[in-house]
Amino acid sequence: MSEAAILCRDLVKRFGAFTAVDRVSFEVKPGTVFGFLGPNGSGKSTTIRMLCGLLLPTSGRAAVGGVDVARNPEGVKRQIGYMSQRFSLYQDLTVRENLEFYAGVYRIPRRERQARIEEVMTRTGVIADAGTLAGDMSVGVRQRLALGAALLHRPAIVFLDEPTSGVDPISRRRFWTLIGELSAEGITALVTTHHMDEAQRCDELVLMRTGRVVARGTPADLIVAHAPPVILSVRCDRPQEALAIVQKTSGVRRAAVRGVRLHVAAEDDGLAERLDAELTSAGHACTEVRRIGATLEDVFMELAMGEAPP
Amino acid sequence: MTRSRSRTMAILRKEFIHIRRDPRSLLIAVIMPVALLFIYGYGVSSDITDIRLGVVDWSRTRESRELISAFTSSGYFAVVLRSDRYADMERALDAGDIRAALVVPAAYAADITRKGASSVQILLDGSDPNTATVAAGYAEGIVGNRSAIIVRERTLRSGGARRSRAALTPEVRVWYNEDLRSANFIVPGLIAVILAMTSALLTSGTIAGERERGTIEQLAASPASAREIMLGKIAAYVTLAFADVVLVVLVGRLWFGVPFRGSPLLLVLSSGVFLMAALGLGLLFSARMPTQQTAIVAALMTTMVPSILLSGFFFPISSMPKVVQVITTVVPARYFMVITRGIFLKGIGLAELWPPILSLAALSVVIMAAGISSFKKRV
Repeated sequence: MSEAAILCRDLVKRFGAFTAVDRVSFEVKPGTVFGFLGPNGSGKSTTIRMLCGLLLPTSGRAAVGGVDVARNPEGVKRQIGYMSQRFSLYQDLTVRENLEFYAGVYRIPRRERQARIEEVMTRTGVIADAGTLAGDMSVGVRQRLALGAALLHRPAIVFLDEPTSGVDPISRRRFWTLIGELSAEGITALVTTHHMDEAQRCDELVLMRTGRVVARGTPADLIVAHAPPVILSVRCDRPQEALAIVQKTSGVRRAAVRGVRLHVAAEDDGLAERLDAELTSAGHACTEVRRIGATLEDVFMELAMGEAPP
Repeated sequence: MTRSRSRTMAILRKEFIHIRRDPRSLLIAVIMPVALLFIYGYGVSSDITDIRLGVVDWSRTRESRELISAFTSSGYFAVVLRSDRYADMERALDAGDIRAALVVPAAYAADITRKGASSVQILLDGSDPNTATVAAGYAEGIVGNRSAIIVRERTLRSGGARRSRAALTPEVRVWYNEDLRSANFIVPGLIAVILAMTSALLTSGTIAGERERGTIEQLAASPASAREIMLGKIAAYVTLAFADVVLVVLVGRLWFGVPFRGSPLLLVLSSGVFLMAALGLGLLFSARMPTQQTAIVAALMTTMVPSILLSGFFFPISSMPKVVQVITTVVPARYFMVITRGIFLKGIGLAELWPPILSLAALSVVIMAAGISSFKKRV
């Protein structure tokens, strides 16, 4: 078995009395796409920043590419690519100028530089914008540029912190195609996201909540282990009003309006009839109550919104 | 009326809450005006006193001693050097140890007794025309007084019969800046002010600005070390600042016709030393202050303002209150001012200028070290 690309053991980060990351442990196999899920403030970015050598852990151990992040943060920085949550290239520099700057920072040999920059621009599809100021580009293009900058020095491991937030679906798909290509080349990617379709594309996932890992595994594993027992799709008139009734029905864990339907996470199979009866007696015309398969979103809602972890 | 006033009061109260909670606004709203008041109140005084005077008394008589004590008792002059040799005065003027020299000829007393008249020589350092002009006025006044006393005594002795012509003539000679042109004085000094200002403005925002825009994050995640980042920024601004030096020298020389008598190389080298201090301060604030704006304000307050008011640029340091004089010893521009004026107007070199260069270098090293070490890469 090859050594883990990223390894965390009981990683803790405290800011004063606040524990942002609480005994987080996981490992990432080389060449995989590793997803980081969790609501805002659950400690994802703080964990990433410790793994990138930007923050010193309070306790615990973490190694990236076999290099200890606490003992040798600069050594970690040399072999990783990092894309922060907020666009952090220079908006008053053009695409090419930004890449040239980072090519210099990463000490890419002068004679290779131009070729490497062309390669990255072609690959991320920003070559048409080479002369455009980063500040003048759409969020989607900007994010691809940021990924390009993170790949310039050919790192074995990349950390992408919410690379697709605020990006339109077409750009998101394009971005994920890129991540897939990187993985095929053996590059390890740790990606945080709020999009369940993106999480679905990860080889493995970790779900964080209030600084702790509450679930881990492949998307399929997570659904098997953590999805609510039954998911019902309910079609009725006036779904907004019906929601209040559904939420009060016993055996309903969670319910939400999805378009004209209600999405209901339930304890047991017998709920379908009870719901139908409740809604009908309240004067709602219930046309359909159907059992559907659970998705990662159901898992996420279950774990992120459910009872607080012990 | 009451409604609008209560609204005004509400806004006022709200503003006070903002100010109380934001240390930056406190800095700008309170500390800065107070600091300016102090600097203007104490530093900006056009009263020139205790002008450092050298005395050559070749007469060594009661009469000559009376003249010299008239200078010292006036309060405007302080005798800091006595010598029999004219050359000592020249050297002291070169070095800036004295601003003026009084030379009493050997025949002074004899001429007054016999011919009823004599003359004394007053040498002035014109590289600071403000002080030189004022000093010339004081000296002429003192000599004139002395002259009147001598005439009155003589008239009393002779029974008040005849009116007498003036007994003493001051021969005032101004050195270095013979015409007392203020451009000759201002332009060399302006190099210090301009360098301080540009480097403060340019550097102060740089780290704070990166932090504000979030670009520091990407930089911090790269293998570039804090020192590399700082030095890179410094190098950029040094280049720009040297262009400023050349510009000021050229404009001063060609447009204002300011003489340039010393070594250009020495000017470049000492400018480099001065820049280290100015840029170091800018970086120090940039790294320590939370936003670009406060960093710029802080840098301007500590570089530009003192380099105008506490450097001897307009106002001679010797006329400042003692406390302010002590403060000026940590103002890099104070030393640089002496150096630029010395090079431009006096044409003096390392032999005379090593003390201010050494002081400046020491200050620069300390400030630069503080500037570089204040930037931590971990965010």
